[in-house]
Amino acid sequence: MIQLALSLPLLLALACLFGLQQRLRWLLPAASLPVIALAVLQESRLELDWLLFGLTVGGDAANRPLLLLLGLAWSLAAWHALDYIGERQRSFWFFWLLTLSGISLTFLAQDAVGFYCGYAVMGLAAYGLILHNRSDDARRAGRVYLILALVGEVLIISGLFQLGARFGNFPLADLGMLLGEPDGFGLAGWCLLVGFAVKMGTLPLHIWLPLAHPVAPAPASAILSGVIVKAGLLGWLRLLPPEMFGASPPVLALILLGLTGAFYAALMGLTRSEPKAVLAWSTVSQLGLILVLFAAASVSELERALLLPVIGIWVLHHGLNKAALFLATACAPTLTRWRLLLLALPALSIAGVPLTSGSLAKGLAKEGITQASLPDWTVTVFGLSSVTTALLLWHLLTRLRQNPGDARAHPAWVILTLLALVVPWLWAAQLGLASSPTLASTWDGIWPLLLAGAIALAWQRSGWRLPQWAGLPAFTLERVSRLKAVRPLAFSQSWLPRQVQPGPALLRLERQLARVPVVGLGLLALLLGLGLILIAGT
Amino acid sequence: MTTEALVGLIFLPLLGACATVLPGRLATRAGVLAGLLPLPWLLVVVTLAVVQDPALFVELGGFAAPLGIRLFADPLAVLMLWMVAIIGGLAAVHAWFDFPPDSPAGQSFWPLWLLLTSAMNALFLSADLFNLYVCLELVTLTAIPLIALAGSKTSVRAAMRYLLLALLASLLYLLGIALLYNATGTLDLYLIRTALTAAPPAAVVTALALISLGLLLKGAVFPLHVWLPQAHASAPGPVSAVLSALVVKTAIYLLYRLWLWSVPAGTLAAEHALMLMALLGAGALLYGGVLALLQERLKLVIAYSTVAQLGYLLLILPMAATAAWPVAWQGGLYQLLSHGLAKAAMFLAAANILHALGSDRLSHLRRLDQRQPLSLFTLAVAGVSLMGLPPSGGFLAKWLLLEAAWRSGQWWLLAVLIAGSLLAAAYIFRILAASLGRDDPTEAQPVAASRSIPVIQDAAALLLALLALGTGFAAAPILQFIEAGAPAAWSTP
Amino acid sequence: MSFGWQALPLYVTLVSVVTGILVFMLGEQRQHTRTALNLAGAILKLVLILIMLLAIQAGATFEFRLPLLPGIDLLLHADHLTMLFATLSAALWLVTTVYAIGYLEQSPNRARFFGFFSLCVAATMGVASAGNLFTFFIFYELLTLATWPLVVHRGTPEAFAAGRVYLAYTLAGGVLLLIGLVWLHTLAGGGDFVVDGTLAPIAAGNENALRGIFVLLMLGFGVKAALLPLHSWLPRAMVAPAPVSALLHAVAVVKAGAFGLVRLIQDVFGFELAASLGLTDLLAWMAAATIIYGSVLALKQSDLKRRLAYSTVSQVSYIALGIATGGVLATVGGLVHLVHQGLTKITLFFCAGNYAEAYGVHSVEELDGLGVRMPVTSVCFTLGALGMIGVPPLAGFVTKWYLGAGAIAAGAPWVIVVLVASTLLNAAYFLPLVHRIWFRPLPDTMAERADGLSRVRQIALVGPTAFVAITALAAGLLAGVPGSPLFWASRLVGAEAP
Repeated sequence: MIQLALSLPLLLALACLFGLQQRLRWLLPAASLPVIALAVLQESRLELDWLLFGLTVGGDAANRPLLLLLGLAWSLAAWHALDYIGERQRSFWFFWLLTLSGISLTFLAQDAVGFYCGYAVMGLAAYGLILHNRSDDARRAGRVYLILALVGEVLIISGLFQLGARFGNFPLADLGMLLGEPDGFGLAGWCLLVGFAVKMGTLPLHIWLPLAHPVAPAPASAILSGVIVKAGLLGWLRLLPPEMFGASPPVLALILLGLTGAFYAALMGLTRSEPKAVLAWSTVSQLGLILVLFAAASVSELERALLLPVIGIWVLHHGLNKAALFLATACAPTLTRWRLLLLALPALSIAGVPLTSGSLAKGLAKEGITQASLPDWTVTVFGLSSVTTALLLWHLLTRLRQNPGDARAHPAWVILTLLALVVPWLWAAQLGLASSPTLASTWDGIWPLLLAGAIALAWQRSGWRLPQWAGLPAFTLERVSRLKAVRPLAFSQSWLPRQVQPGPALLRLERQLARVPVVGLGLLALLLGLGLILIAGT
Repeated sequence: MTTEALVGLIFLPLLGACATVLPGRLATRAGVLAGLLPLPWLLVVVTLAVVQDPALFVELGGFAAPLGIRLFADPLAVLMLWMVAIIGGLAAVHAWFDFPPDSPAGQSFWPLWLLLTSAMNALFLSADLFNLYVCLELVTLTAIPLIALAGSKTSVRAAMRYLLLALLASLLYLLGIALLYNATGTLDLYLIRTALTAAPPAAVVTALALISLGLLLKGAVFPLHVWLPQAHASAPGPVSAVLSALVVKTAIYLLYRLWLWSVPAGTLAAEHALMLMALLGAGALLYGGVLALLQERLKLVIAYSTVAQLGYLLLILPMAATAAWPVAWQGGLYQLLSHGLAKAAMFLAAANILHALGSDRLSHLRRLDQRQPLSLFTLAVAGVSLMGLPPSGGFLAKWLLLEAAWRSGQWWLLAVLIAGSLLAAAYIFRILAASLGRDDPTEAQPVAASRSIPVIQDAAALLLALLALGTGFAAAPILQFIEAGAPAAWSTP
Repeated sequence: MSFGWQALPLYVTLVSVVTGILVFMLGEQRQHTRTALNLAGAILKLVLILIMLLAIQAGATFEFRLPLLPGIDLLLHADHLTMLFATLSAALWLVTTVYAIGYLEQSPNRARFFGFFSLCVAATMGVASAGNLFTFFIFYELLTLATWPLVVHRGTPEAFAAGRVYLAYTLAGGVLLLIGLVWLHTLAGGGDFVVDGTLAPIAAGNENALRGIFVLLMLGFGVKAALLPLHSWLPRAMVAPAPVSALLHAVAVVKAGAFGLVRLIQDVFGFELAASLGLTDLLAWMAAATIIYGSVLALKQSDLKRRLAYSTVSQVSYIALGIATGGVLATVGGLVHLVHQGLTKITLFFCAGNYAEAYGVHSVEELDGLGVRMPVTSVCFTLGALGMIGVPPLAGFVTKWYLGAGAIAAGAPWVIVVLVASTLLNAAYFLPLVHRIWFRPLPDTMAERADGLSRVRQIALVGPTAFVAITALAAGLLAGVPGSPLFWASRLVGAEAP
């Protein structure tokens, strides 16, 4: 099954190169189905000695929820894309499948090189998805994405070099053990943390997300936001075990960064009118919360074990719901009441309404953070973030209602929305973490909504509009790619003789030398010279 | 046996020359073949004898040294003789087509050619300064008409200038040996050393200076090279080859004999004189190289290249007083050998090109790789040796010279050697670049004589070039042979 | 001196010489015979090399020795390093021959071209199998001679100007090499290449002499390897036809220089000695500077081949960097890059040639939208470009992994900075090309033009391109398989295969 999961997308991508994707139409959504089986299986493992430096792949506790997310979201998005984009778009499907190959390897890899290999392929292939419509905006977004992705990747490889120098191509699961006694958060740690943060949209590195999502086609945005960004999280989980952080992990700094991101992104989202841009900011915001969870899980081995399943559930919840929302933007979700309901479900879920997967994830998260001996205000602020999330999603609904569109409701969207409602619960139940809601937890889920509703009403009444603000100085990295400042040092060839310059003068000299009197003079001079030298010797 | 062989080397070509002037069509052919063909076989005998005895003296007619004439053969002489046999022989093969023996041109060419061969052989075997003078004179006097045989105005003018300066040189030389004879009473190269120490220094000094000067002029050493380029460039192809490869070297050979065999070591501030000559050599190397780079005609480039390459032969002289002398000597002689082969090859190839294209201007050489591929190949292979690039005799020679310069600590020599070979590379590649050029439609083509070249002529040139290349692989036995006869290094006073 | 089975390296070299001479003799017109001869020569050589490879696996040794001067031998032998380079060049020769046959169809002076082409490979083979520095020098200079006619092949004034610069640099480099060689010879005699070198015993008291020798030799090799101040001949040599550029960059000239540096550190001085004299640091810094400088300049080139040329300047120095960094991992990285750079760069040059031949595309701007028109070539180009950047699982990544991890292991973390900067710069000058090819629309002027390549040429040009691209891909993807370049490089350093 692992072989199938890895090779099917790759083979289909190759088939696309030869234009066969039209004949294989029905295989395209199926390419990501085998990973579901791997997610359901408890353990799976495969060693391929002949590939790369010896590739190991398999499912374990860390990647199984991600695999499930990948399988479900990707297949349904592909189904949607089959109608939304059409199977004739060879280039789209090629990059789609190549990205899938990359991310499958990233999720499944159990060794450092395999992981990086998948990560890099995925990162580059996703560029093709962002650029799908070839507009100027898409190009700009693509360029910024690519530059950031590359910077991220070289940071990651720099970190991996440092680990590789000590452990070779190490098994990811054993990294903590290999590191042994924590020896402080070194350069390798920083490289990896920042490198993966690019994909995770952590605060100053988030700028590609709001640029890329609006320009990419809806199914591509769905998997970008729902699945691909989670690869960064997996990178953190895999390569930054608590041992990596040493005795005093920068947990607090990370939490602050995550929370800032969560609020800042939500506010930024409120200033946007394009629904997909709003959703992109929402993703940045949610990723900020995931960073908080990751930070909490880095306190020590104990917290990691405790929070890992929670993170899994959170990822599953956010990925499915966010993907559903992105698909919704292409399905005219406000056209009918049923569609509105289908749109509201994932939105409410992300806002954490009781009984939704969101409330499950948030409840577990708060519980985990409380147990992780972190400052009290962390949990409070974490809870407050639900308010801004709810506001943002309300903003999304109003934006979508203003421009309903007339697209067909695609079954993939419907199915994904329903799955998003159910699957996280099932997963939690399977892990024994699902519990029936208590009064406290219900209240926990409801008060942010009430608060948000109040603010929204007040806002609507006042008619006040948020100013359109461009966000953090959008340092357009595109300039880097057109370096003008670096003047080449002048290593010119001008010193090389084109023609020997002293030519004419020498030729004149030669003519003079050839005159007989001159020869005679030369003879005399030499005679004197030789004679004098010899006489001097006697 | 050895005696007969030595005598045969001198007299067979001489007799051949006599035969060629006899009436009858066959007589010329027979004379040429009889005069040239046996030489290599005789040389084998001589070589074997010299391997046994690296300083082989043969008294003619049984009279001992001071009175009778005696012949002398050592590895240096044998090396030169071989060069005469091989280069002269292959040049003769080439000349066979340009000067068919039964044509009027051939009638005047072959006697001179055979006389020249005989004179050179005699020169390399003589052990007596006066005999050497005679031989040297003969060499010059036969070479000059050969140049004029080209028949053009330039060639006659060049021959006349050569004649004038060569006679001047001969006079200087003659004056010198007269003084020497007066002072020492002997002219035997190998006996005079002891006599010189006892002789009055003023006479000796004057004599040495005069002889050296005469030889430098004959050897076309910078700045006295002025007669050479025109003479060598305007002569017929095979003559140019022999002039550049052998005739100028006779003077250098005599300089070696004089200074390394006859002058007593460590006297007369001789090392300073040698240094002066080395400086002239360095000057030749650089000046000749630059001028070769400036020439517009192929044969002139090659002729100036000769001026330059002769410089190497003088550069080794100051190392006679150092520990690096054996290496330097080997390097010098190897340079002599490989330059001779390569230069002859180049001149023969240039002659073919000149015949085929009707011009040897560099700007007319375009597309030579299609019009005269073999000649171009010959130029290139010989050029590799001249530049001192591996694998070639020239490379090994340069390696030895560099090693000697390094070991003796003569850093300036190192620089000169390097500069010389870079210049050589520059002018050789200039030729090659010109030959690979495309046709320029705007420029008028030269009136192509478009004479086809007999394969044998191409082959003779190519064979010489390949020999130059081959010396890059067969160095070990040759060097071993040379080493046996190396003049003793001067011990520094 | 034995001419038997032992002398196989000599015969391998001679195969190309003979092919070259026969091609010269055939003349211009007999095209089919020439093609057959070229292919036969290339295949025969490859077969001989494979036989040697198997024999060496089985423990055989090969050596041909001919005394040239007292104490100096012409020595051809076959050690692991030889085989690494020889296999690469023999395989790529075959591919390039096929490519060149297609590329030069109907162009003048083909006999000359293929003749020197063969001689060039013969010289490369000699460089690979040289058993001492003297022999190495002989073939190294022969390589200069054999490539010059190829550089000026087009016969235009620009070609001759480039040829002049090429000669000025390489001959000057040869001179430095020669001086260094003479110095070394007077100091230590002409020792054979031995792993870890032969100079350690005489090092005491001669430190400065050895430093001087090393610098001279390093500069001599550095000219061909295009180390920083000595690199500017390389971009100019781009006027040559595409197969020549491919050959110069991937197999022959540049590689010979890099190979010389490898020999110098590994088999003449030995890493320990070189490091203790502070020489490896010198080389490493020079290589690092070259890597960065070449990349920055590549960024500024709008001519496709010139951009590739500067990329070569940069990439070849990885080899030097790996060797000079030392330690098992980095050395493997450097050695394996010898092969990887060759495969990748030859792919790129073939592609550039295809673009130029099919649509007259020479500048970067003209690449817009060609992915649709020339899909196979463009896929190959993309693979090559990504390989150069070091994207896994392509060959360049394997190199970078070993270099990076090796640098850390050898205590030279600054190398990482160089690698990172170079990777980013590589991306900055390659990805825009890929972007243009695939994501820009085809200009209208181009859309109207019919396919530029005839069917036969299509096969002869695109076939080899695809082959080398796939090989480059496989070299990375299957790095763990016995027989991969990585495997050989690891064997060479005595490390266990990954």
